[in-house]
Amino acid sequence: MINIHVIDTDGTARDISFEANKSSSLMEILTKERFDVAAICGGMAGCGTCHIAFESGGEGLDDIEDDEEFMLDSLPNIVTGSRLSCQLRLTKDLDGARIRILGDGV
Amino acid sequence: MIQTDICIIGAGPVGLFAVFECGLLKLKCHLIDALPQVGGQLTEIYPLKPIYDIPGYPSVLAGDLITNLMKQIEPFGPTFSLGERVESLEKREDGSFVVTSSEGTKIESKVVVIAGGLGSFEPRKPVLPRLEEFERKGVEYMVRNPELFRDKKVVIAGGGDSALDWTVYLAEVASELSIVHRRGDFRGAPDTGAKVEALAAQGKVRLVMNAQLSGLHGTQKLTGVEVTYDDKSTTTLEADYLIPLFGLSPKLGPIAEWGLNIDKRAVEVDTRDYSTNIPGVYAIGDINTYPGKLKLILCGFHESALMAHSAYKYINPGENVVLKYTTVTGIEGM
Repeated sequence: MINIHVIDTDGTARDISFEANKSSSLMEILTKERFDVAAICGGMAGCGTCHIAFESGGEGLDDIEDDEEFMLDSLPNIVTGSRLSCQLRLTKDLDGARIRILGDGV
Repeated sequence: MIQTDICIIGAGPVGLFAVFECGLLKLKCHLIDALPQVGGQLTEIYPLKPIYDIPGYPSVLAGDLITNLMKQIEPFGPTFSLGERVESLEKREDGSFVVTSSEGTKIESKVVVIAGGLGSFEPRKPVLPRLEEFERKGVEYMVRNPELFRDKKVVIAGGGDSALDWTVYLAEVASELSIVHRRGDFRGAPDTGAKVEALAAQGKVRLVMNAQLSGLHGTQKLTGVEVTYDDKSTTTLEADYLIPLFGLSPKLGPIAEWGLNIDKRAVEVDTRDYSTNIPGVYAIGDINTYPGKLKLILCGFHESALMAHSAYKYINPGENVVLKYTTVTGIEGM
């Protein structure tokens, strides 16, 4: 099992657990757990609404691909550790991470 | 005043197909959309991505699906108000509706259909103190009329295509132009990035790289934009205008204030006909919610058909609608 600590947009926080699964994304888990993630484009790195930041952990995750990089570049609220959760596979590299949901800044 | 049978809010795939279903029942449609082009998120976000779950198409590009839908509804002569956001909905005593847009356009209709996806696309705003104080007093989120910036000191913020395109354009218009970007290079469209760098070399654009907006100065009217560099040092750029270009994001907007039953950014509907709690107002596609809802284009198409038959009965009470197959009746004008 992978355990992470998630801080929602309203500041409330809780721990969630899930199985590693390379065909599923962190955005899908956050949506399923009913966090405030709109995920409008459905996972195409096209809208920025699943934007999160790693406050700790997440080392060893896949590098940022061009599509994700372009979208992050266009967001007004990116910080160190910013990623699009739709581009993150459910791998053990997430275990123990502390993430904050930021959305697209609107 | 525009007069029509059905006013459709949202010109995405579901709003467009609703024109077809209403057209089969001889109902005229007018569509209104906040974006300057039809297609909703298919043309705005992913025009070149393939879609695999449209029945009859093993694969279709999002942009091509919209082109085909426009061709499919052409015989029914829909009319459009594009680049206008809906602001208010008024129900008159005779049961008709008046929808008013951000630009003051009024649309009178017998039925209103909300097909707004997740809402109208609005500019993403940077997180900055006093931002709202300067909106329309120096802060502009879109370039509606480039002449507004003639011989003015302008700061553009952002690193996407839109920021680069307007930097190239306004370099010949503004008296001073700066672009603030959080990175050290431009990674968007390479041609445009190169043009911006060439303009900088000619002294026509000031590149403020590895920096982010951090403050606004002025009283009543914007006079300066403060930026903070990655090394935490700050500087203030003299500015008559700041144009933050961070893309667009959908918001439910004024629809949320219309008295509709809303659950988590979606409008609750009755699955018999996708009617809302306001008689004569329907909601179809991604903007509605009901038990078992799936946000799929094909579900929105189905919802369009049921909505159209119900809308016909709403407009013509007591009349029985006979379902006709297009294979039998054909489509006039095709």
